Amino acid sequence: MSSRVRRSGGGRRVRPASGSWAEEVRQKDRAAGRLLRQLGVALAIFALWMGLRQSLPDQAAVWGSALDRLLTGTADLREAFAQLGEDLSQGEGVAVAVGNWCETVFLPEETEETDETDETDGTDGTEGTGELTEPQLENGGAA
Amino acid sequence: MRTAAQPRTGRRFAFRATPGFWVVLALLIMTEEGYGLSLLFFAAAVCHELGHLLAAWALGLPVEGLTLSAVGAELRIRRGCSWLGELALALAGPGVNLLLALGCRRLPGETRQLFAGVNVILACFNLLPVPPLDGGQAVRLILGRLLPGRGGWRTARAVADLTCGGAVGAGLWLAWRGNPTLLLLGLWLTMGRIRGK
Repeated sequence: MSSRVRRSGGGRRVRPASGSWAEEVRQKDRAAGRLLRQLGVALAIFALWMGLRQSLPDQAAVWGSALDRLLTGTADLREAFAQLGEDLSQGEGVAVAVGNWCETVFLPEETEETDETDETDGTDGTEGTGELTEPQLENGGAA
Repeated sequence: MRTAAQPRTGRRFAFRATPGFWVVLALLIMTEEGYGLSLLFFAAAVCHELGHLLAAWALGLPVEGLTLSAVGAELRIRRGCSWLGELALALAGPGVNLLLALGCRRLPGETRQLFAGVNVILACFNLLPVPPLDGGQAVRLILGRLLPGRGGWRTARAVADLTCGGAVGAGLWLAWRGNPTLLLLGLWLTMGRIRGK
């Protein structure tokens, strides 16, 4: 099909009017074909992943959890959303509930470290505060 | 005279999905057991776009198509209404999500509460002041109305850049500490910002 370009009086190129009906149908077919190809690729990848989970479940679990960690860090997204829903159902403000959700999802998981400085009582060889603990008081002084 | 074999002229709804959309969908499904959360997200996104669609119909604006991409879904609507109409069009999607969240939050059942949570997060995310998100459109419209000349557009662009930069910066710090989620979100926002400018 030849393309005609209409020129206005000032010499500017003007876009031609929309193509013929045949060209429009071809464009629609190309778009539909592109969508079908994308669906096919997506289904193939999905089938491959499902096959991998069946035949190599351990390896698939390792890769899946690695991908999960990469995308979501240490957060459990489902649990975070469930907690958000529960906070909203209990009348929590939207801002507070969303703030808690952001804290769960975006902040790194804190590792709990036992603070030993407040728990020393002199019996483990370290220097204590010199004060008697309750069991020592009950037993009549330091052992 | 138009025959049945000829296509209708005028309004034609074009649907398109980019390869990036399928990749993101696949990642969502692969990282979650049971696909429940992915389906809830999809349902919330559909409701979001329906909100925009309803607003477009109410304003008498023709909808030209829907594009699904890695940065989300985008309805192509032919513009041509008042400033207030454009603002209502932009905020209709998050508005529907918030209404759904408010409606579902008191209903019993874990799935309904999960759906409420998903809708709240989707609404909050879409209200971020970064184009092409709805919040970015709304900020551009409001600032364009408040500030003269191109000041509104420049200020909206600065707000978007600050938001993306802040998300990426904070994300880098949190990723170094062990959680890359905010970094990925910041990069996703930046990608959408570059495409949507």
